[in-house]
Amino acid sequence: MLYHWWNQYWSKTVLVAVFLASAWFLRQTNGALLQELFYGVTQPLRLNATPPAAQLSDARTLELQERLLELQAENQQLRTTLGESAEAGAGAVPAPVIGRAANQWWQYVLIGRGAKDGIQVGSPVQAAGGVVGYIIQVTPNTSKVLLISDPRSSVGAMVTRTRTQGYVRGKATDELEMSFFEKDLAVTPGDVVVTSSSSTLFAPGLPIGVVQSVNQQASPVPTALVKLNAPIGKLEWMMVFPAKAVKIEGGLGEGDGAGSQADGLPNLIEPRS
Amino acid sequence: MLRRLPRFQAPDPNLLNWLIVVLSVLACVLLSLSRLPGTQLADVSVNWLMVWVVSWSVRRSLLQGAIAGLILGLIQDSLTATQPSHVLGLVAVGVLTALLQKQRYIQEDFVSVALIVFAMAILSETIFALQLTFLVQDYSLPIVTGAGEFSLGDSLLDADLSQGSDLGWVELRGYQPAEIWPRHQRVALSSAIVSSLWAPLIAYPLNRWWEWLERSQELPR
Repeated sequence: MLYHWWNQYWSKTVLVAVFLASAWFLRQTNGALLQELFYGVTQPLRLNATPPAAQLSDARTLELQERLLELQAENQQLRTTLGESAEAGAGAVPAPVIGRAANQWWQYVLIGRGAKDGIQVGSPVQAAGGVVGYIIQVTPNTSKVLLISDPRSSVGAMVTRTRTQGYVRGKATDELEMSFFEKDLAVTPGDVVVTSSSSTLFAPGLPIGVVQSVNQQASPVPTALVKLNAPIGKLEWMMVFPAKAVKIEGGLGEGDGAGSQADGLPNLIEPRS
Repeated sequence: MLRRLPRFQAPDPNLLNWLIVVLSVLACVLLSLSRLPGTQLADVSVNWLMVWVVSWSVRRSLLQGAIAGLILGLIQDSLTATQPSHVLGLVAVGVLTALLQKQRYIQEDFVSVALIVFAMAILSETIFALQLTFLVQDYSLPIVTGAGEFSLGDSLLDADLSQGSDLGWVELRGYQPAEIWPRHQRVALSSAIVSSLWAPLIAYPLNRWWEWLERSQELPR
């Protein structure tokens, strides 16, 4: 009986097994092949494949930029005098956004630069407006960026005016939720939020957004809503900083899936009591 | 003389069929990574892989629907994150669609496919949201090492900070319970509308082809 069944259905069974095995392989490699395929297929569609030149829209911007340059140079000098290492600002790779997340709950983008351009897992990503996320997967020509607006992303942040420390977590919109470490806050709407010096991924002082509202009563800690500077849903180009990649263990697939644990990836949170 | 000319050999329809199956799934994968103009509603785009599972299952058995859901679920996991998995939702979509067809409630026309897709989009997003609610959100992001005590993607759990705080610090990560269902409402409804509008693009040609294939194989040889 089994023999008859096999005679009748062997080709279909084998085919299903092959499809299942391929799907499993894709899952274990985090779809690296599909990402590369997507890159190849969409290549001819990317006509304007040059990063937009810095646009100096008006005189005020120009003035502020010049002052910023001045201050940066001064800061650099002071750092050198203090014996601190100069900030590694060079080596940014401009990357076009080529794709987005394949579901409605997570916030990723695919960018058209990868391992060939020196991008590594853990490289921070910025765009006009400030921090936008970091790299969680790299294939030869593409990389996946976990956006700062993803609920699983959390980035160390600080309110510039009051120096209040905290971290920002995404809400899958263009607003972040900032949680603070202290209870009595002097933070008010309009305050600027930047990356903090305790962030392991980002250099301190990179702009993130502006406080929209503060909730002192939130439990267990006070929170604030932070509106992102970068138009995160409409970005077409991003800057990746491969030189600043943080070493990451057991990451989202190094291409061969060897590092990743069977059901997804290691937990980032080490609960503290 | 004429006989000697090589006759046009139609490719084996079964082989061609599997080729079409694989290519159409690939097309859905590529579509789901892109955001074509007109395929988005309130920042939510078409769930192409779910549309494919429905198109496949309307004329197939429960088992076939389930297998398609399983395979495409694994593929969608590979494109996003493995936790929570999309497999559960897509298997449910495949099985239920096949069941509907078995009951002969509906036919394989434009409108009924769109209606099924509408319902199945809501179903699959609900299953995803339930998983978010009830499964431990053990997230799947890389561990950062080499920075002393840190073990977070980007953590502030620096010993100095947390010890200096009297709050008994626990970092929140992932969707918070209060965020899941409002987002579900928006995602499920937008995805249902926009997916059912675009469903015929996948469902119509595939089902015409399968109809033709079925009929051609029924003919006596």
